[in-house]
Amino acid sequence: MDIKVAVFEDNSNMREGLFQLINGSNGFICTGAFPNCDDLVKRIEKSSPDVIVMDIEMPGISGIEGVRQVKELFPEIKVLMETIFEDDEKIFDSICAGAEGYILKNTPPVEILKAIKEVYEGGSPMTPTIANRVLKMVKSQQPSGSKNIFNLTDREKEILSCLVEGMSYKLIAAECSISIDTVNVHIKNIYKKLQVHSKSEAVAKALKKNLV
Amino acid sequence: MDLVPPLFSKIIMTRSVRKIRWCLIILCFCSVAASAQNQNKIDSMINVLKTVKSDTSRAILLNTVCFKLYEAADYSRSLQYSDEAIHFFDKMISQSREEKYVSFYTKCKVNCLNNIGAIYRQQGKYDEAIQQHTAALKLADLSPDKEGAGSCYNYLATIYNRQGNFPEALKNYLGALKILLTTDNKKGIASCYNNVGLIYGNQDNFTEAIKNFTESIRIKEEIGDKRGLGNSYQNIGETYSRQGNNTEAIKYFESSLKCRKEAGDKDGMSKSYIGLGILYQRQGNCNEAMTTLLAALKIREEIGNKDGIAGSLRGLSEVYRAQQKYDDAINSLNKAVQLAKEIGAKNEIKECYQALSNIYRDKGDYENALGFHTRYTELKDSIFNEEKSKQINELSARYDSEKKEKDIQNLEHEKSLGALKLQNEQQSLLRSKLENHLNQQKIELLASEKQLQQSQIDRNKTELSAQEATIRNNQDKLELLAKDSAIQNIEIKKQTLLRNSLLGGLALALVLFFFIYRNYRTSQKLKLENIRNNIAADLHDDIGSTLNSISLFSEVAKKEAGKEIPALEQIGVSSRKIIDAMSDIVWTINPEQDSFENVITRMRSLAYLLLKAKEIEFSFKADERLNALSLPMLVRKNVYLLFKEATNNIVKYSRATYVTFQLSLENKNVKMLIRDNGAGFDTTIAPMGNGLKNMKKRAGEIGGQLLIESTETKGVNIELSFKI
Repeated sequence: MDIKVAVFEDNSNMREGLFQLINGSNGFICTGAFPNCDDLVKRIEKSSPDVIVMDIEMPGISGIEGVRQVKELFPEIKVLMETIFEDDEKIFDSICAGAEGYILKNTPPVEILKAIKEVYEGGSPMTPTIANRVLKMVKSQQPSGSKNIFNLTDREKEILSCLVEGMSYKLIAAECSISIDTVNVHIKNIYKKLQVHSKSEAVAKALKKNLV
Repeated sequence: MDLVPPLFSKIIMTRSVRKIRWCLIILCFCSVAASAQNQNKIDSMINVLKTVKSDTSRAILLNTVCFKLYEAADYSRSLQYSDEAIHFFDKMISQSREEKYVSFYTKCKVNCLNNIGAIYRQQGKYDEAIQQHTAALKLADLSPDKEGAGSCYNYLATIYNRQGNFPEALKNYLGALKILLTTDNKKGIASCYNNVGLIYGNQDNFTEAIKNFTESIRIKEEIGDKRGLGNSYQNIGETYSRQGNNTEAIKYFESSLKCRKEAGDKDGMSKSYIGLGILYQRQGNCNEAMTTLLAALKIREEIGNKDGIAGSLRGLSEVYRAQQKYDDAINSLNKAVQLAKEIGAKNEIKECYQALSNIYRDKGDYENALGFHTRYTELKDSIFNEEKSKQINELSARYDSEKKEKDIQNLEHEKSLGALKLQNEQQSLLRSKLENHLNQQKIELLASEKQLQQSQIDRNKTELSAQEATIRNNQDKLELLAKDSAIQNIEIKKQTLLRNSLLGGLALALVLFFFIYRNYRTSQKLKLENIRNNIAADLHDDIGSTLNSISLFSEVAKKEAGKEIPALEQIGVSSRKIIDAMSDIVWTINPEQDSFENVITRMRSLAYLLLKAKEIEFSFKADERLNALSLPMLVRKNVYLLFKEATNNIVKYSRATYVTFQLSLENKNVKMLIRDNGAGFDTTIAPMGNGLKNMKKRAGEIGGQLLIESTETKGVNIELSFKI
């Protein structure tokens, strides 16, 4: 079974390039390439992808908003963000909105395919950049609130600190005397907490504005 | 965009212009006719114009006819009557003896000039339009009633806004609003709010935009301005449409359409139809979309708005495409391209090419799809280049004018210095004159004393009483002279005081001027920096994306070839290398990125990307106190690029399995340590490669110390330290 991929990218050259790269590679098929997030539902239903590659910055509905909508309606579809800059704020926001990972646009093509395969297989790699951002959020919230807003456990925070310092999953496993699988479980839990937090925050905001 | 109409009611209210009073009757007639058909109304006014005898009512009628024709989009006739009107006004201004008539006809001329400007703007001749409004503003500024100037500001702002020059537009709107708020010209105030809303909309500030539109609607409803209401409803609709809120957007477009139908505003109606058509299309409602777009097309054909017709045709082609009626779609687009070419609307042509390429692709005609795609790309590049060169020209023009200004200022400075010197010389001349005068008097005094003695000797033998009398007399004279000289002393003191205060004042003015000038320079610098960033970001987005696609396509080509082709591999690597370098430049000059924290984030991410690919373990530690520091551009660039060079060397040459990065802060001294456990090299034997040379140069540029230690088999130790 080929991995079905849909691309949302406003630059026509990039869109065409990704389309051809994915279609020309064994094990992948591009079922749709779109310039924006208009008519998202219809386009996704038509292309029924396993993985979506989504540009963070697009005119109209942004990629971050796009992920949020995708995840609300099709939680089983994996989303890989695509960005020009290492903009930690936007990357962090898309992770909170439910994205599984991100790639920089100048990543070599082979690595792009690798990343698509990795999220398809359920991996959610946590880079030092994201880890640093999460820890910063936790720290900035703690003094005022009684407990940290994401409800991270001490072990999870410890793993994040190791990631910020550049340690690989293998080294972290050794450092904390746990298996690599356990490290993976911890990281998946961190992702889940971020997304649950962002969802509950969105609901709270909506209630405040009488939108629900 | 709203327009402020000529202010006839205000003109008529002018006291003591009795003759004008009966014009009220004509105006009443006009407004009664307003409920009838627009065209009939204009025709009947033109009829009245033929027979009217009074000069003042002719003036008002001429203005009204011009404006109504403009409103009816009959531009050629409007221009024809405007020409007649201007001649008439000029004649009357030169003939009128009384001030009130001069000012009345001046006002009429201002209105007429603005009307001509509005027509030019509708025809896309922005420079001509600006010329007309500027001339009107010059005239209006001379008149005691400032309201005329208000509408000129408004018109100017409208054009600047269309040109995308938002700061200039905002400046003019504020000028207009300031004047209008002192009057009870509600229509004008409503327009201003509407326009401020538009600027906010253009800057993506949707909340403020809707707030201002709503305020405008409130006033327009109060005064029953249907045409204006149509505009403001349309603007809110478009704001919601841009936010993706289709339901709200449709609601407002429908309200807009209703108002515009009532006002007979054809151009406006076509805009509302287009807005609705796009939304229906977005919702997948092809039938409704087709109906509304056809309605818009019909109106635009009626009023001969070519740009608009092309846009409508392109909109229709989208609907045909969705219905898979490809031939109809292609037909519409071909017509649109032809029209757009006639009026030289490059952007429209570009959009049409892209649409054509998409349709041919859908149709499976890849050859044509590629052909139109190529044309699209070429045109896009040429527009992009035009814009860039325009920006660059503007920049250099601004630089030149700044330089000239500075030269003039220098000259003036020298001139004032010269004047000061002259003044000094004059004063010292005056002083020496006074001194001379005093000396002369002293000499005279001495002479008279001598004379006195002489006469005393001569008259020695005459009467004592007579001598006494003479002495007394002389004493009186002496006192008088003393008094004179005292007065002269005071005069001199006064002069000195005046001179000193003049000097002090001048020095103060110089200091003040210096500060104002410095302030001005700083603001200019900031503006330049912004432009620089925009250019860099545009370049990055455009060229970056294209290079990325080269990298992707080279991979595709490799796969299709089915074997390793080194040249293709090299193409991919090279294009990624350029993107990388460009990304570094854009990041370096971006003033938002000047915190040390940002540098650390970028270093950490780079280390992760480069080392992970080679499965090299690493540890990256940074002192948290560094985060709060900010780094100047030069330091930021050199520190980051030195770090990058070192990390790249490790990846390429070291065969290391573990790397330590450490950033620490001690007494305002930053230390960066990079250590690997790889093969290392003998620093005494290894030739200084470009990499090492570059690192030394970078350390030198920021006045830092670079230490490279290595022995074979023991890895490399790089230590950079610099003061901040």
